[in-house]
Amino acid sequence: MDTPLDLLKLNLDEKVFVKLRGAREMTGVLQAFDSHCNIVLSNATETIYELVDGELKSSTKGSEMVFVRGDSVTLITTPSD
Amino acid sequence: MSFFGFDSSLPNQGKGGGREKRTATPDKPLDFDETYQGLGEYQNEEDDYLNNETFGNATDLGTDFDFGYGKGELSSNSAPSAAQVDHGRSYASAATTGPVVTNPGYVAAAPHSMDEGMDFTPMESLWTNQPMMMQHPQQPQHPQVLSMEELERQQQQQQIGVPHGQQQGYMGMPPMPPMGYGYAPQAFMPQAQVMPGAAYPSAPQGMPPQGLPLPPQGMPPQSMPPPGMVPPQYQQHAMAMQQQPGAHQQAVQQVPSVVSPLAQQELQQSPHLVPKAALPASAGVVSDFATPSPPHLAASKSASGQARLASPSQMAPSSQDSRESTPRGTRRGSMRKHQEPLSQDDFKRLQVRQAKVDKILRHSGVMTPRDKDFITRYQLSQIVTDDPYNEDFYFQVYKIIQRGGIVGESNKGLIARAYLEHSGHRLGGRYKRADVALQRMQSQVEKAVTVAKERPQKNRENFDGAKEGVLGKISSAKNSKAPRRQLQIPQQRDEDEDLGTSAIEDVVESLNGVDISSSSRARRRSSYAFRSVDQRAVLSRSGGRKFVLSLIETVYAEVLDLEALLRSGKETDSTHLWESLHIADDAYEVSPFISILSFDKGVKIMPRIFNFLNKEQKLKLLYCFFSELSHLNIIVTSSYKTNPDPSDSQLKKIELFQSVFLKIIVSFLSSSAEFLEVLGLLLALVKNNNVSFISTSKIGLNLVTVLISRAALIKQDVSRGSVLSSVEASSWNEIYDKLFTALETKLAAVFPPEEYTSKVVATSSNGTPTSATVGQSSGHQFYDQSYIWQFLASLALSGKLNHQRVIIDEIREEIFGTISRAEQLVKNVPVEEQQIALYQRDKLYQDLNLFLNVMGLVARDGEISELK
Amino acid sequence: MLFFSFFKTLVDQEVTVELKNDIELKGTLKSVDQFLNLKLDNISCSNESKYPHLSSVRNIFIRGSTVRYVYLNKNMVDTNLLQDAARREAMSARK
Repeated sequence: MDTPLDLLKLNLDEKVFVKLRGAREMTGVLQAFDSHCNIVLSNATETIYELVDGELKSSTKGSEMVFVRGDSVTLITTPSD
Repeated sequence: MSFFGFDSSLPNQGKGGGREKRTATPDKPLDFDETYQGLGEYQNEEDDYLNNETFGNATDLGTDFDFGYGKGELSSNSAPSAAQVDHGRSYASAATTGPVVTNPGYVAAAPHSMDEGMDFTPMESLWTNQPMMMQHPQQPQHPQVLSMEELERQQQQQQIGVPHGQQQGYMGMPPMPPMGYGYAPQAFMPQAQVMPGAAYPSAPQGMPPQGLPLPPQGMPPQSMPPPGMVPPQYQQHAMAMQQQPGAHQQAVQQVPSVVSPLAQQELQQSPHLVPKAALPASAGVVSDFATPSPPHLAASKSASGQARLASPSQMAPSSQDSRESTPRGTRRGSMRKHQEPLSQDDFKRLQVRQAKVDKILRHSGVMTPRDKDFITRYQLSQIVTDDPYNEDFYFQVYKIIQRGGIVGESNKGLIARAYLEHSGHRLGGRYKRADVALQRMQSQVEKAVTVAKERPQKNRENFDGAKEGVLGKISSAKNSKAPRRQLQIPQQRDEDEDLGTSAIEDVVESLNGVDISSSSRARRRSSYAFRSVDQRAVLSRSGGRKFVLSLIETVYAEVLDLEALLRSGKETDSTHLWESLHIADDAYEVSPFISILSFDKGVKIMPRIFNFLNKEQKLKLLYCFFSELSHLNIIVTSSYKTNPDPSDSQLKKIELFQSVFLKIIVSFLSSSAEFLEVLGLLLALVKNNNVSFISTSKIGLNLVTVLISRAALIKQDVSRGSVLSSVEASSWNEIYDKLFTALETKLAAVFPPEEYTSKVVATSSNGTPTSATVGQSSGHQFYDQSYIWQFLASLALSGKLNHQRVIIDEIREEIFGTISRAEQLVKNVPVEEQQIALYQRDKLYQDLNLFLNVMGLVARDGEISELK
Repeated sequence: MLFFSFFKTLVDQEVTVELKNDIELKGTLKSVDQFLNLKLDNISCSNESKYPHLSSVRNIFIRGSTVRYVYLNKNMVDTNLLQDAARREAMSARK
């Protein structure tokens, strides 16, 4: 029986797309995860969306290796490309 | 006492009271109303109005909590028995100021810190499990109490105004270690409070001391002396002790004067020792007095302390400070050297040492060795597991890798050492016993490990039936170990093509156990490059992306399991692993194994898989691999025909495949493959693929080169003794012919066009350098064509004269093109770039000559000549 | 215990921690526990706008639950080993 986390295991070493709280998104290669959804991504890009003067703006930040605490994670999937 | 609003002012509260009531009226129905009174009324705590009751309303908390022995631990009277409980007081104050004091004057004697007024010793009645005992001492207590009160009053008159600053009571008496220790409670009757100093240390004597000899030295006998006798007894003892030769000289001198204050001090409400300096005279002396008993036992722990203490006590300007601060170890009866004059420096050093000793000794003796052992074992049990790889895999293996793969000191040894250092345990003498301490720690770790081993087993027992729901067992139709196939592809049964000569048939048969069903053979024969360009199509033909990924994960799980078995020295069975690879799986158009190799993590796991497979399995794997080469993602990616503009990540993938997979193929072939087996693989390649297309890919060309050169090597292997059998020889010729025929007229295509090579160079230079390019500096890379010349060399080597002629004919332009390029490089070159140019030119010649030498030729300085 | 194990290997390395309140701190990781609470020594500023200006503070304890990201260098991590560890963790969590 495949639990959702089993499906996540399939994506190890693959690029994933992570949605986080606070209008943040991250893509990167999934290196590790656990049942709390703590994850480690390599070659990651974070995109932060903000409303600036009524306009939707986004900023990005890259990191070669990042640990993301699970309690911020809302969604993990494979990127659309 | 009252806490959380519990109103204890009502009579017959508590155990004794309740019981009495019940036994008194057996006929009447049990009425618990009275016991519940007040309980329900205080549910809503608002405005912190119960805080005072909870926490007491003493004035100052103070900041200096002395958790060592406070002053006067010997003194004070009995613990409050039930009858004597002062219900009007807060719990905190009651807990601290053990005995009941109906002397408001004392409590209100401000301003002292909370500590002073409080006796932090827990109520004996709480800790003893022999409530009966409580009844007993009450009677003898009374007279005592009265006398104490009397003395107290005396003391009050004399003592008010004496700075109490140093009377830092504390909870110094943890006299009741958990009952689990089999602590003889009777050794601890309530009025042990009277002389906690004496009582407490006596108790550990009752327990088997763990390697720490506790010379009684005139200590009160192990059984509790009758309570009433205690104070006077103690006085005597104290005096006796003081008169020991080892005692402080000054203390001895003061003994006579001490007696009366002792009597007062003893019975103080705060029965604590204060080993600290700057105590007021009487109080100080008393504490000094009091300290002998516990320190006697505690000092054994710090054996070294003795020596250190002996000297400080020699200090000439022995203020009471120094005297007080050298309590414990000194009285062990050690013959102290008489004072020598000390230099200023020495003195300072001694003072520093003294302070350190102070610090340590203040709290020595609080825990018995058995206590410490218990705590150590408990802490270790939290850290240690029977299989560190289970919980702590990443860390353990990372450490090993960092150390270079050597499994050094056992895990337990390391834990023991780390814990020892971290906790600062000495567990023995300072210098000598370090290794003893380590051994002891290691034994602790062992014990903790066995405990830990039992723990998971206990849990597992609960889980056996866990898959049962309330209404019965929970089952799943689908098991991940044997996933149901999503798609059933009808198998085509084509006619076998005539294999040609019997020699080849022999070759095929000789591949032991390697059989490919005819259907798959048919399938694969039709696998030409251009159907495989679309990788998504390939994936879907082998089960789908998700399926392949789950296969990879299953493979990983098997490998990890096998590696764990290997680590623990057990035997490994590769059957499951083999099955998980789906190599012999016919259900799909493209073998899932091939699709596994299209993922980087699939490639990475290959060397580890090879570790566990036997030769037969490896052969089958390679046969499948070579047969479906054209479907391989990496071939498509590395061919300039199907991927004329490779990206940086693709180049990296190629590099990975090259370094990982090719390496294991080469090592397998060189170590274990027979001649015929090599031929079989080559045949599989030739028969099932478009060889020309394969040759346009770097990986493909390398694979062909490997096979051909290995065959040639085996053929020429003199040490082999016997010459190739006729079957082998003819097979080889046939297969070579087949290969050559497939490549003929397309040999020049093995050279990638200029656009391709320059693109590769550009991408590599901007991204990650790979072995695809060479150059002296990153700015001057050029495409490394050595692999092409190696191929041509091996092809020429195994061919006959006519083969070689054809080869030269077809690549003549490339040969001369290379020479002219090399020559052009060094013409009209600025000085700075000369070295780079020379390097490149030399490399070009080197590669070319790889091939030319096979033919007996050599290219040099723009010309080709015969090789001498 | 996977990430506890992971962080243990990072002790004495310099990492950058971004908290959920946007504070960003660079420091040397000295200690970690099972809740992934962190102790950093020798705090310094990594991002001027996100730095809380604790000028006098050098060593801090961070409650794990307040962490959003911990930025690391690639060379601090063995990615293959980490992936395997994650697989093992997933396997044992499954059992």
